[in-house]
Amino acid sequence: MSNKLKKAIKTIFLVEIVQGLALTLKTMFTPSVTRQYPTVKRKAFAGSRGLHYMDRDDSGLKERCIGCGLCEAVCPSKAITVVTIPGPEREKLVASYELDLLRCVFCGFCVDACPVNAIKMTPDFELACYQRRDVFYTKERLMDVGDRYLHRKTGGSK
Amino acid sequence: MENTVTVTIDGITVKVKPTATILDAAKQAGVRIPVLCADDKLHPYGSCRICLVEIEKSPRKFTPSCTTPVADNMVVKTMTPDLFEARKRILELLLCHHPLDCPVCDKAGNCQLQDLVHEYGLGPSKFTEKKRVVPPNYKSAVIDREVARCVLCGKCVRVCREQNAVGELAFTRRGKESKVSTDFDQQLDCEFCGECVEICPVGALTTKQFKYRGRTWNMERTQSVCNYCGCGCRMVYETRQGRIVRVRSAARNYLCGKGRFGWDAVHHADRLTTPLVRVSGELVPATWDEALAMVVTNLNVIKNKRGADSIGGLGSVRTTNEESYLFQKFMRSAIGTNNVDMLARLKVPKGLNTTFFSGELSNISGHDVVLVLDGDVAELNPLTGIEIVRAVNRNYKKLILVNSGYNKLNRIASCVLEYVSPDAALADLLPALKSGQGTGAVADAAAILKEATSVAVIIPARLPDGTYYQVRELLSLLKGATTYPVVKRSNFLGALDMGVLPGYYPGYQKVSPDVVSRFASAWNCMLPEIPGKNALEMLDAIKQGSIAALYIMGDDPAGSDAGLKPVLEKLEFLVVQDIFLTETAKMADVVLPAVSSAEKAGTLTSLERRLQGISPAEEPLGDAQPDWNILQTVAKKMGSAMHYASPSDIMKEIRALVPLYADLAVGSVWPAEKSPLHGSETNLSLLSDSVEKNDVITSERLLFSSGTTTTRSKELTTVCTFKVEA
Repeated sequence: MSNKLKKAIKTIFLVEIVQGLALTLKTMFTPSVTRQYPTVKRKAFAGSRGLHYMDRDDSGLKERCIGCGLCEAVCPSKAITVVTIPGPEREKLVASYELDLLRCVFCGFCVDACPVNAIKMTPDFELACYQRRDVFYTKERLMDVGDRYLHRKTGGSK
Repeated sequence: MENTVTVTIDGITVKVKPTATILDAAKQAGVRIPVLCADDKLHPYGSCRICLVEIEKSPRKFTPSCTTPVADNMVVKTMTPDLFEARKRILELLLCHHPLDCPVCDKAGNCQLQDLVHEYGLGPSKFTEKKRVVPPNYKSAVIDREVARCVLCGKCVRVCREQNAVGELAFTRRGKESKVSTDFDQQLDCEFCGECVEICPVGALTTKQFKYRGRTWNMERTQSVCNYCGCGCRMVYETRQGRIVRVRSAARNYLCGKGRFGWDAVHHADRLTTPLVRVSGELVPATWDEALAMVVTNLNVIKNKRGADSIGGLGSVRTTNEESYLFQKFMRSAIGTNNVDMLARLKVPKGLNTTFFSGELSNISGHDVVLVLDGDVAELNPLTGIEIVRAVNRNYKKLILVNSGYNKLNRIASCVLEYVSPDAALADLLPALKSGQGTGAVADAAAILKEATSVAVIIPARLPDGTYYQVRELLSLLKGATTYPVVKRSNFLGALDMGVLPGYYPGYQKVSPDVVSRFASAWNCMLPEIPGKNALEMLDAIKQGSIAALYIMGDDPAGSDAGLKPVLEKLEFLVVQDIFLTETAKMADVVLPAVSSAEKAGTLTSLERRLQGISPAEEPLGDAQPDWNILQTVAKKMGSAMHYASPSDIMKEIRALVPLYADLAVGSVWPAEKSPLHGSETNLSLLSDSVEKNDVITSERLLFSSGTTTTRSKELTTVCTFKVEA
């Protein structure tokens, strides 16, 4: 009996709606949780894994990569292809370093495997593009990514 | 088994020969002992000390297992905490001066030192002083020496001397200055077989060809067989992204310079990629349909106008058994003539496969004496050469050498007969054997031969009639003689077996009414019943005009003898199937692009009569097609029924029709007694004074040059030019 009465009172005086609106009113005075994503960007956490970049060697003129191919070996999705050739002084030249982002799973194994810390990752995760060919990163493009990320003035692609 | 000793290794008891080492016994017991300087190909040496073991009741704490012979009731432990520490220290000492440049070293992933260091979990070294700086040596052709990486195990030095009898590499300097080098640090002047590179446990010896071309773990491997000479060495193509980057010998095998480095002709820019047809005097690219239509029309016109026997076919020794079989089937059934032969028959010893059947090469070292009648054997058939050296250096057998010049066999021969030709030597040797006449080397040789209970006789690649009878007489005088003929080309025996002969059907079945009717019912067609013309008769017939069209598969008569050019010009129609635009192909009316042995499947028969399979490592270049497929398409268009999906279909038909191949497993040898020609006087070689079958020689050594393919190998050409400059 008392239950029925309570229910009737709740229904007549719209108690629950008032409770709900009270919460809404309270939240209006707390700071906003929505991030204005495209215009306002959140600071990346340390160790977040996004687009790769290729570091430059100490001279700043060429890549740091020595062409050992360990990143290629460790890559679980076979996204990396390294081609090396002998140079004029019989040194090892990296003829091409190609990264296929369509295959990449951003596991970061390549970064761990690199014995000279040549391949690294930026926190950049906004990788949408208009053309399919834009997702294939060559050695030069990877170095440009690094230059942009590190705000380096020297270098630029060859 | 008498004459064995019992050894216990890690609790496993094995019986081994008293001459065995602890390492051999461990292998037999299935216990792994890590090694660096030991190899099955070499004598024990004991320079690296990685293979230390503990022997119970031994005064020494540790004993190297590779150099210590077993004793009865010996109890050996191969892994104890002490041994682990000892090996770790040894590795640490090896790494004192070994640069840690694994990321750029081509050996990484295949490096015994790297594997051991990983296995023993070496951390940072206690030895922090600077590493030795030794400049690399890039002066030589083909092989680079990264001297700093060398761990002085001596494997390269030993393989060069013990296995190859070349001895180009040796230790120079002393103490901490010691290194592996040539005399006066000159550039290498050797056989460039690359065995030292193959056997090097670290990356101290590398090839220019493979330098920085890929990493071992990225390679796909295809087992195949070398297609350069008749030895049929098994090898492995290593491909990266569908392109060959390196060739290595199969496990426990040998490869010479041609086999190991000569494959790059496959990538040569001269390769034919599209059919060519002659339009108003010029060869122009065409589609397969156009080219084949031209072949079929012209062959049909000539066949109808002048008869099937006015068409001839020249087969090849570079094609597979299946292709040779299909070639003779095509000539016999689709064209309808027995005019099918090979010019390569000019280059083989008389009596091959009739009186001089080859024994298995690995048995050479089992004979008491090796009698080499052809001093060039090590250049023409390098594997035979290696087996001869093995007989002398490993098994301490005697070598009698007939040689006019000086080569590596002279260094190890017990007795050298210096004669200009084998017949002159035999003219003196035979009386010495019969009645004891003769002096000097001949008397020594006769004495050695008389004592021997089994003799391996290396039959020269050229055997004129006179010498042939001398050799037969010699064989009758020797006890337990086995012949090993020199066969220059890879699949010569296969082509003979497959009946690329005017007088024989496959399996040496003589052209006779019952054989013809058997093949006619199997092939479901009419077959010619009279034997055809051989290669020399065909050339004469072309001169006289009775042969008007020639179909050449993989041969270059005009290139080997310029005198044949005017002969071939008389032809009304010439078809050439080849991988390069050879001198002959340049004269052809239609050139059909074929593929090299690296791009096709099939079988080859080596000089031991061993059937071996080859597998494709690459996709065919451009529009090129395997020879069997070209032949099949032409035959189909000429109205003959040939439906083969793959070479194995052809092999099935061969097995059904050729008794020799009926149950011959791949990898085994068909027995000489089964041949219908066994012991007969049939001559499968050709002799001619007028026609030559010269090779296109680019260097002074036959070892590096054998003709069309080798001249187009970049690496082998560097060897030649290098030697000319030097």
